[in-house]
Amino acid sequence: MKNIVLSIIAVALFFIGCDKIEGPYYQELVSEPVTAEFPPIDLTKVERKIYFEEYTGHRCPNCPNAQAYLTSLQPTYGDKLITMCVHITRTFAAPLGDDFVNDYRTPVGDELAAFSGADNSGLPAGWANRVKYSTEDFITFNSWSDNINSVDNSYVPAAIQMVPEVSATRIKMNVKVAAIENVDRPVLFSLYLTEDGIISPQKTSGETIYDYEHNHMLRSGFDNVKAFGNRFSHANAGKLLAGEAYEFAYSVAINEEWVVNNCSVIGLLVDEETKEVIQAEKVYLGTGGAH
Amino acid sequence: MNKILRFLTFFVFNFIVITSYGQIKVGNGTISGDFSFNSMYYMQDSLIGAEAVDSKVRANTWLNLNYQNGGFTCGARYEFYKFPLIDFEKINYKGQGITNFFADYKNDIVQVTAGSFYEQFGQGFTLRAYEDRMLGIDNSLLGARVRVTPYKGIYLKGVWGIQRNNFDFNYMDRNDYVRGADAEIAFAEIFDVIAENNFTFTVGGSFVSKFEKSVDDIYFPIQIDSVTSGNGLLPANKIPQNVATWSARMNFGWKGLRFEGEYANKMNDPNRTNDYIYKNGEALFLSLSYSMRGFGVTASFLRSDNMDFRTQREANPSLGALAINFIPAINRQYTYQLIGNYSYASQPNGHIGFEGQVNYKIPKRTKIGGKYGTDISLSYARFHDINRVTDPLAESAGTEMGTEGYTSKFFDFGGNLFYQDLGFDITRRVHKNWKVMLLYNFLTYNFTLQGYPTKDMLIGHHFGGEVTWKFAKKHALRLENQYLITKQDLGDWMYLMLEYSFSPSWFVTVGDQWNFGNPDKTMRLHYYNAAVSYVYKTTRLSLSFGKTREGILCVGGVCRAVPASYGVGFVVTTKF
Repeated sequence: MKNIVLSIIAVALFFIGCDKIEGPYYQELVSEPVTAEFPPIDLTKVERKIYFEEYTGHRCPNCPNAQAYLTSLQPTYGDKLITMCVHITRTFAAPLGDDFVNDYRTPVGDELAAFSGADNSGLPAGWANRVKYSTEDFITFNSWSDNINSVDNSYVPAAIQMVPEVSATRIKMNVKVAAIENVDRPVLFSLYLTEDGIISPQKTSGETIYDYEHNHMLRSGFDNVKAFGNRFSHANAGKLLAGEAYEFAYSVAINEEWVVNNCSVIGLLVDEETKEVIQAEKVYLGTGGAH
Repeated sequence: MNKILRFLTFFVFNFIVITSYGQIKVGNGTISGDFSFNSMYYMQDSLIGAEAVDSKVRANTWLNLNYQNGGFTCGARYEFYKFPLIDFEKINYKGQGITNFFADYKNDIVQVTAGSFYEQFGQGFTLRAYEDRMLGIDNSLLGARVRVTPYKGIYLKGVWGIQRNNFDFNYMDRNDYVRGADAEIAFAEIFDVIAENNFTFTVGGSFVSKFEKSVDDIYFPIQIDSVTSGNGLLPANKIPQNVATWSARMNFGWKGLRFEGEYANKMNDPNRTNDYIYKNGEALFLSLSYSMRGFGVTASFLRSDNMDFRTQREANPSLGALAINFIPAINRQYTYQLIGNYSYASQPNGHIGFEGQVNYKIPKRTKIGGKYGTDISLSYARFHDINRVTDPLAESAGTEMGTEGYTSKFFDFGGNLFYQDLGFDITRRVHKNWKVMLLYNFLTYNFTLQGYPTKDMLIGHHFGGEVTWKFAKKHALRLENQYLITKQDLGDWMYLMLEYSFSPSWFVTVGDQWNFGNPDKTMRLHYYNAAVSYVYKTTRLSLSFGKTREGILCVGGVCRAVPASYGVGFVVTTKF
């Protein structure tokens, strides 16, 4: 009888699997007060910008070629093409030996990589506006221009204005999203800090370039902003209504390793479900950055 | 569409001819099964709200086939609901395919099942994988089940499976499954002395856990302070992937006296039905009954709080699918048309109430009981919302989402009355060929139960009478008449139905529901019906014509909406 009772308890415990969650359960995603003026803009002249998310690593031998290819496309698109370089994976981006002492990986970058699949696909990899296409094209940088060209430029759902305020310790970004069209699905807004002109070793297929210039490198997300962004249209369940404007602000503490004058902030309007980027904007914090 | 109809007609009639011969022997085993074809030709009637239907002829069809040889059984069910009756389309029970298949082996000690199966632990507080064809519910599990009887009186069960979601057969992409175990010890079967003294004593317990991968964050609006609103975020890692329920139960009996009870608890389970709160759920059922020849009395109590338990946290509760457990309705169940539209729907996420019923048979050949005796029954049921005190954090945030939600004293009745029914009926055979039944109900019904919390509570008096006259051998007439008198909802109703039966094969009914007291005189409509049924051995064919009013259909406290309809119905059912 004793054995039977013990067997019952053992079987029950085997099946009981339960996650006890400790509070607090939710986070308040509270925007900081908007403290800047947004200059008036003509919404009829707003263009769709293209965001390109490139996955790279300072120990990735083929990545400099991909970066050079992207740089070669920049004159064609000008400010319409916004690039962000995300260093990922232990294989290609972890510190190693005396040459690769820096770790440019970030928690927010790892989340983006996990969603895209770049952490398992091999590098370099990249996609425009996070629109899924074939894995082969994802990791074949020569076809990235096709991906960029496939973005529907006629779809301009909103205008993004960003006004930075930089203090000694923090970078604050005031944001205004003016909806041009109804967006009948929840959207998020994400903010990333990138840096140009970082001189640091980079492995190539033949050698290590010790004074390689890393540009558009993702350095950080913003405080209280999720990797793929936060909702900001509170009254309409995250959806956008044409003609309405939404203002909010977030900030991030300055890391002493960053050269703020070389930094930029990228703001993205993101489809919450698919994570597709439906509008993008970039603001330089210094006197200008790499193209 | 015409091809499909021709095929179905051909299939139905050939099938009836074949299956009329009963079970089919195959070697040492037998093949058995059942078949149903329930069809309707829909016509539009804008007055009653019967909409035009794009595909006018619709049918629900299924076939069960089982093979049994000794302790081995296997079987499958094919369902063709591609163009189902409109009731079923509205709850998304639409599609076709082999929806159920299993193999089962049983001996004196063990029973193992692989494939689709149904199972219930105790009252169903933790697990009730069941089907109800009338409601369009099939919560079967696809996986494995083991039942073990290691010693007489000791029953162990284990289940592991993915729950059926109507006609979505994409099981490989599912991120959710259910596992559970149940144990029961019947002491009267183990110790003969207990049974010899007319006692029964059973204890049991169950554990059920569901897994559902948590991938997406959940956003919701919150109030930061009196003027500032913002977003709350439930991160995916704060949404439990494994949610468990457990229950303990007992059953004690001595001669005609019986007491049973079950308590269940559910761990944090934020989901769509509870507005993503984290408090634990609880349910308690208690029942005391006594019966002796000609007399019976029962009293039951039920409380449930945050006990809606589904395989997928985003499941739509109005569609009925994906419910793992079952909180029963303990009130008296009626089949009468007029009060059927105000049946009590069980509220797993919050109700408390009780039911009592006394049945007495006045002995025959007495002054009051008459020559054949008289049955009387008196019942009373009352259910309230539970008493809730909103969590302070929820109060300040303006939403219960992402908080403990509320607290509730266990035995406190909330101020919101859901349902009340005082019922009385008397049945008497006044002559060897005449039987009379009279009934009365005082009904209070809160439309919160149908999702309309602001609608006026219905207070109604329901009177009914039924007379059966057996006027010749095998020939009988039954007349049923009911009135519902109320000032609320659609006002007063009358129902009249006459049934002629020529046993054992023919049944003919004509009836009418008349909304004679509708405040809008133009809506004092008739809902007439006529039907003919023919029964041959295990086969039944039925042809009907008429109108069905919009309302609800409830079975055991589980309800679904019924849209208004008008048309011709044809039903074939058979067993073999």
